[in-house]
Amino acid sequence: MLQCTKLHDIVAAHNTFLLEANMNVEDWSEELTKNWKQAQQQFWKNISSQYAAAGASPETDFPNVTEALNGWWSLINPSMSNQADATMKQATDMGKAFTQFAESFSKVGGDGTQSVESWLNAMEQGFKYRQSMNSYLSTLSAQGLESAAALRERMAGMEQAGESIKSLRELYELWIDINEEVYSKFSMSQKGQDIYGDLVNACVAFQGGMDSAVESQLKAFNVPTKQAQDDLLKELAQEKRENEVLRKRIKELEETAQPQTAQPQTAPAAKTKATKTPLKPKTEKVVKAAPENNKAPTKPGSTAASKPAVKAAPAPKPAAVKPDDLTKIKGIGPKFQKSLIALGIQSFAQLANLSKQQAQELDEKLELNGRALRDDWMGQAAQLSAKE
Amino acid sequence: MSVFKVSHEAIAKELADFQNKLLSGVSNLAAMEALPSGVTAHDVVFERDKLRLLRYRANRADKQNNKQNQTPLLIVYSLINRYYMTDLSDRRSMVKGLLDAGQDVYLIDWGYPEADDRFTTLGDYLNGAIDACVDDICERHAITQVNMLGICQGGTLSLCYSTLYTAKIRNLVTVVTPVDFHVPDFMLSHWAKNIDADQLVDTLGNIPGSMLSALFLSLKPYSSAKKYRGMVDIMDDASALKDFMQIEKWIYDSPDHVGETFRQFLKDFAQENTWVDGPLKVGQDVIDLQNITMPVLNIYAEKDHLVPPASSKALQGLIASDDYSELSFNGGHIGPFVSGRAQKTIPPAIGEWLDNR
Repeated sequence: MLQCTKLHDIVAAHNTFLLEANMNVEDWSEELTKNWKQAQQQFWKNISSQYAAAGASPETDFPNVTEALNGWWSLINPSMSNQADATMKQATDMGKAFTQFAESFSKVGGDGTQSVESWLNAMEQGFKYRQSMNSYLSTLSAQGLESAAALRERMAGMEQAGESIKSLRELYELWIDINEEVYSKFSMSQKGQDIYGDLVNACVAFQGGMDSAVESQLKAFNVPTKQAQDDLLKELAQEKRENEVLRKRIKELEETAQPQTAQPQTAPAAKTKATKTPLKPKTEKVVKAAPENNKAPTKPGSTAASKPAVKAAPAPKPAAVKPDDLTKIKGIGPKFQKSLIALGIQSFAQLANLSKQQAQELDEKLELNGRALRDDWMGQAAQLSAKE
Repeated sequence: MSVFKVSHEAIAKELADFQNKLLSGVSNLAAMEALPSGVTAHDVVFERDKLRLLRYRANRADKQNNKQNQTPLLIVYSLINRYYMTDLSDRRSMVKGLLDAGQDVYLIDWGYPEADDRFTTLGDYLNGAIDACVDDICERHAITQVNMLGICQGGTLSLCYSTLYTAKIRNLVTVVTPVDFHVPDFMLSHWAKNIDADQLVDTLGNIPGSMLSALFLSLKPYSSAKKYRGMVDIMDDASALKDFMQIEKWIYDSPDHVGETFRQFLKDFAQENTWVDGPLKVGQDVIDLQNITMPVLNIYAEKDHLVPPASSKALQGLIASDDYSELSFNGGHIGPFVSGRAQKTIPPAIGEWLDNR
C-alpha cells in the first residue's frame, strides 16, 4: 500500500492514513513503526549496493533523518511521558550524528579501508586548519591587549606634555592608528610571517582535502572530475601557445612574400638574446615635474637614436589603367571610391600594391581611422585583381 | 585620565552631528547613478580572447597640427584590479593627462580571466598577449618601436617584455613597480615567504579576486574604519562622494588572477626574488634586466605601503641603460592616479620626457 521511496514521505503518508482510517493511537503507531523499520532497512541496503557498484547512481537523496524521526515521534508521543519524550530527543540527536557519520563514509566511495583513510585525512586537515586559525586569532587578542597598553602609554605621554584629546573623533582615530601600528609591527615579525603562512597553507590543505573527497565521489559516478578538466585546459593552453607561434610565422612569411613593386617593409624587430654589457656609471637624473602653468616643452632629441622618421612616400602616380569597380571591396563605398580616384588610385592592382607606409598615409588623408588596414583593403584588392 | 577633555554633552553633540551628516548624505548615495569604468573616449582596435587593446581618442587639433608624439605609448596595466584606475574621472585621469601631453595612448585591458585561462603562463603574456599588442600598434603606424608604460605588476611585465624584445621598445616608463621584492617593509613579500605556492595554485586554480582584495585590505585593516568615517564627512557633497565611490568600485572590482602566472610571481618574484640575484627563466626565455638598455623613467610613490619606494628604486642598479631617470610623488600607491595634484605634474613630466627621446 505504501509505495514510497523517501522516509519522510512515510510519515506524511501515515498522517493521511491515520485521518482516513480513523485508527486508534496504539494501532497506527505499531503500523508506522513497522513500516519505518522496513523503509530504513531497504534504503540503507540500496545505498550500500549502489556505492559498491561503480557507475551506479543513487535514485534517492539522503533523507533528512532528524526531520523524519521528529515527525514520526511527534505523531506517536502524545501518549508518552515527559521522561520518554526527553530520552527520545537524545536518541534522535544521536541518530542524526550517527547518520552523518555514515554519510561521510558513503560519500567517499571505494572500499572500507579507503573510506576510513579519506575520512581521517579530511578530519585531520580540518583540525589543523582550526588549530592555525586559533593561533592566528590568539595573536589578534594579544595585539588588542598591546594596543590598549600602547594607548594608555600614549595618553600618559600626552598628559605629561600638557596635551589633551579634544573630541571623540580624535580619540577614535588615535585608537585606530595605534592598532594599525601594533598590527603592522606584528605582521612584519618572524612570528607574524610563520602564523600567516601556516594559516593560508592549512586553509588551502583543508580545501584540497574536501576537493579530493568530492573528486572521489564524482569519479565513482562517472562524472567529469576537476582533474580531468584541468588536463583539458592544460592542452588548450598549449594549443593557444602553438597558435601564437604559427600566427607569427605566417605573418613573417606574408611580409616576405609582398609584391616586388611595394616599398620595402620595415620588418618587425626580432627578439634579441641577452648579451651582458658592463654597467656604466650612471648619473641619477631627477626629472623635475613640469610647473603647473607651463606646457611641457618639446626639444629635438639629442641622444643617439632619433625618432623613427615615417618618411613621406610619393603618392602613387595615376597610371593609364582600366578603372575597376573599387566598391567591390568591403568598406569602400561610392564616396571613398571617388576620393581614391582623386588620389590616382583607380584599380585593384594599384590598391593591392600599396606599401604599409603608403596605406598609412592614405588612411590619414582620407581620415579612415585605420579602416583600410582593419578591413584589409589591400588584401581584398589583391584577391580581386588575381581573379581578373 | 585628564587627557580626554570631552564632556558628555560634547560627545552627544558629536554623535548627533555624525548622525545628521550620515542621514543627509544617504540620499546622495542612494541617488548615485551607475559609475563608469573609465571616462575617456576610446576605440577597441584589437581583441584576442578576453584581451582588448584600447586606443584613446586624441585631441583632434593636436592630431591635425601634428603635435602628437609619433611613437605611440602603450600602457601595460597590472593583472590585479582593473585598468580604469588610470581614467577614473575627468579630473583624475592619467590617460587624459597623457593625451593632453601630446601622446598617442593605447592601453591593454586584460578582461576577467576564467577557468579556461588557468594555465596561461607569464611567458604567454609576454610572447603572446603583449607582443601581439605591440605588433598591432607597429603595423597600424608603420613603425618598429613603441613607448611602453607599465603600472605596478604591469611594470614588472613591461620590464620582462623589454628584456626580451629590446628593439621594439623605444622608451620605458615604470610606475609604482615592484622590482626588488626583498627590501625591508615589503609586507606582501614578507607574508608570502612561507606560503606553499604549488599547493595554493594546484588547489584553487585561478586565485579568486575576492581573496586578492581581502589580502590588500588586510595590509592596513584598521584604516578602513578611518576611511569610512571620513566618507561621512563628504557625503553631503555629491561630487566628492562620487569620486570616493569611484575608487571604492575600483578597489572591489578585482578579477581572478590566472593560476600559473600567479605561481611564478609568487615563487620566482615574491619568494625567491630571482631576477635581482640573477637571470630568471620564463619558459624557454631568460629574463636578464641587464638587457634593459633603452631610456627608463621610474616613477614611485614616497608613501607607498604596497610597493615600498626602495623596491622600485632598486631598478637603477640592475639595468644597463645609461639614460635612467626617477620621478617621485609624495603620496600612496594609487596617489599618482587619484591625486588631483598628481594629474597636474606627472603626465606632463612623462610627456616631456618621452618627447625628448
